[in-house]
Amino acid sequence: MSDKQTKELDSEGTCGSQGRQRSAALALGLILAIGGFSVPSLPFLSSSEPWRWSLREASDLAGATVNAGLVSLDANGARLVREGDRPISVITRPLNLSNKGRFVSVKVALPGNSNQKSVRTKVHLFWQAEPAAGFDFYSRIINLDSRSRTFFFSLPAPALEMHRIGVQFPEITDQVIVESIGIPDPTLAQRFLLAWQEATSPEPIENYSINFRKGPVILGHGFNYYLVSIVAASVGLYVFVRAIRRRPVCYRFVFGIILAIWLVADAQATLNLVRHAKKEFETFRNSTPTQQIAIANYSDDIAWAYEQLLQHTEPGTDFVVIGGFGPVHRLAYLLAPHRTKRDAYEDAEFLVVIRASDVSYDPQGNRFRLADGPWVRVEKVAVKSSFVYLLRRRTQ
Amino acid sequence: MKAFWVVAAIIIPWAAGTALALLIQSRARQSYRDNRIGLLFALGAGWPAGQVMVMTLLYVVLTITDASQSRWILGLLTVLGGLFWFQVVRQGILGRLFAESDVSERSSPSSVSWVSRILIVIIGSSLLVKIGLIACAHAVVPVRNDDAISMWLFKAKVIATLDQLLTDPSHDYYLGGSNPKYPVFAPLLAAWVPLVAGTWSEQLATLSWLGFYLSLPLLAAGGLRHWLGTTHAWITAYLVASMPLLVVHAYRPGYADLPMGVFLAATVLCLLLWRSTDHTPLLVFAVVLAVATASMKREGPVVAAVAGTAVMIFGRRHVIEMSMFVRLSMLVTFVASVLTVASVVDVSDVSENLRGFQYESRVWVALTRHLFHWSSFHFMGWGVVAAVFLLLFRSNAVHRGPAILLVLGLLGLDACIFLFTPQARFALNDQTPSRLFLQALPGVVLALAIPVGTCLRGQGRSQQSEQVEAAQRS
Repeated sequence: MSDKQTKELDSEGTCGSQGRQRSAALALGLILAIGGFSVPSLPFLSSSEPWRWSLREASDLAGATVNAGLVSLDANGARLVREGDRPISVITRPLNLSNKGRFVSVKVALPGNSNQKSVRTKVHLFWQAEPAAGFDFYSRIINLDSRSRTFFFSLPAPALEMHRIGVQFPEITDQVIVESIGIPDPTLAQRFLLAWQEATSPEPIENYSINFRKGPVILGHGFNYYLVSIVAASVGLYVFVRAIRRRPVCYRFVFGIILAIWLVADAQATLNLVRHAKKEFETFRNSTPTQQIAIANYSDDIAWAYEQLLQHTEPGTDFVVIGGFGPVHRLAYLLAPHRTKRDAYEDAEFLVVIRASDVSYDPQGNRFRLADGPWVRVEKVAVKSSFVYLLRRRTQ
Repeated sequence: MKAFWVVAAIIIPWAAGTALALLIQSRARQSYRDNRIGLLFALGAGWPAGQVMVMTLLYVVLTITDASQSRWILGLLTVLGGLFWFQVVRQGILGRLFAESDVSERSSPSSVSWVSRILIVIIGSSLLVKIGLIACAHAVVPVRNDDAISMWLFKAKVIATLDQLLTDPSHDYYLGGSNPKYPVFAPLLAAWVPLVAGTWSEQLATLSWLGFYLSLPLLAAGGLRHWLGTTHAWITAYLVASMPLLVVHAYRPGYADLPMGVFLAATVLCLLLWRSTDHTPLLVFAVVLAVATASMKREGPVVAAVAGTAVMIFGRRHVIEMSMFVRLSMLVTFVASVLTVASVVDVSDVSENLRGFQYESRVWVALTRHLFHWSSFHFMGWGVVAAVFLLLFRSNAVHRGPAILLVLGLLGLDACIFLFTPQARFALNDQTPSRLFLQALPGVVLALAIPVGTCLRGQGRSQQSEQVEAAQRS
């Protein structure tokens, strides 16, 4: 074989290899671009059969759960009032829907808000996937006023996978009118509006935020669903165009696309942090030390118990907290090491009771016991309410 | 006066650590001519190095005496730092560093690019906003009620208030109280500033976390310049420091995951720098940082062992090329480190978990949710997968093997913890997976940035040279 023939064969081999690479790049670019553009558009284009639950008559509430005082129930909806510390919440009866919709609409008003100024408040949308499963939730900030308004939320899974859904108003201390809860089929404009609201809605930094950040849930999908799709679409389009022009792919440009999308995600997260920090700084700067303890612990009771224990006990004494995990551990921390928390109420000198359900306190007989445990003789030291009080154990 | 002690408790260990890092990397520069590790790396590595000194001295003094003698320790650190800085000045390290960095900045084509400058301004502003908010939060917002208080800060408060580390197991405040199985080193870091200041305060206790957050981008930007150049190193630093969960851990300080993540990232970076420079002090420094990683949490020893193994498997040639004396010294250092960790970290929980071996398939959903769907790390999980995929086709990428093995090892370890042990319940209730990924991801991202970044730079250079050649031809 002559040199000329060998060169021609080499050239054909290189051309063949380049051709295969180009075809692969074209195919990969096209798949990424089509997939990347179509995936995020699905939530905007899907449709479903609407479903609605109106709260008008007593029969409408059958099987549902209403955690609130029912003031009235008529054509305007259910007027609910908060009972004690428990936030107002409404949960549907078991749904059993065949609906694939991923939206929830809630028609609600604040009847006590007569000055026409809207109130910015947090609303939890929560859902239960199975009868025995716990409730999951996400929060949104919405503006409520005296007029009945419909607010849209998105669900993380199709309605047919939901056993029950509900709404909760954790910050409303007055009355709320809930007119209806539904699984709607919003228009495209409504979906865009909802997507924008959900993307820009602040995600609070709560105590569980140390474990994870969910990010905004937009039309039932996490933020990464859209960001990764946009990255895929942009990179795919770029690779496709370069392949058509017979140019090599520049990885720096690809990295630039990824970085640009990251900057968008970071801007959203940073803005969220700025908003949260601003609110938190204002809250703490304008509060007293006792208020700060109450806010930091999400509980006035803990702040009250801390003050009372400091006031009525000497360093070196011990105490027991009868309450949930939060009060027990937080008071142990606040008072350590000079005042020590004990586990058994028979051993401690002071007993703090914070909303414990399993206690028996007999003020006349000056005795106390937890569940079926032994009675101990006590004296009352301070009382905040019938659920929150401080006792001192008497030695026999 | 209190302010003076607070500032001293922060600055002196950092300064000592920075000088130590400068000395170590300066020798590396002599042994590797193209080394561009700089002052940023020293500042970034200086914080964890200083904190290692603090917690070691505090632990030793607290266990052999009845009090921390914190101001004597501060004095000792001042002397040590002074000696290190004396060496730095005597060897003219700083002068050389600035002179060389000026030359490299002027000669680097990427440094004059307006795109790079705008990018650096944007990411610098973003980092400054976050640091500013975190600093303000430290000053104004008290620690919120969560597990950090019950475990880590509880111990720190007891140690700082009593000025003692009680070692009697029958005492209520044995090893700081709370859960005695939790290692005491993160609480010692939290107790340091209050001990020196002479008063307990949550704001003072959590200052260390602010230092760890600040040090991470400095460490990344300084350390990665060796391979990537200024712009790409800063971009990587930004990517790491802007992961939302990392920011939350700095904003709401108290958990041991952030310090552990920074110690691990520093360990990985020093190991890879050693692999590039063959400079043994970097390896010793990495071993010390690995011991710190191992001492932070109960899973720490396994995490540090996995990270060390992943890099050392590919460092066999470097070990073989060492002299016998150096090899023996390293063996002694390694054995001493293992014994130290074994004596100070209670791993009985880990063994107990291993005994409860069982496969829980539902955990997969939770793990993918944390790594890919939720925004704890933006879309870094996807980025890690894409980077590994890219590296599979780039056999000539620098540190490709260790980087891939680190990803598989560290993220695989996290996955196995939940998939095969009773810890599965903490994945199913979403309490822990993101936090474990948080420990691993800074180190993983730094390790991946080196081969991926060198690919990008290599292509950029070849394109530039093609353009130059084309211009010359025309």
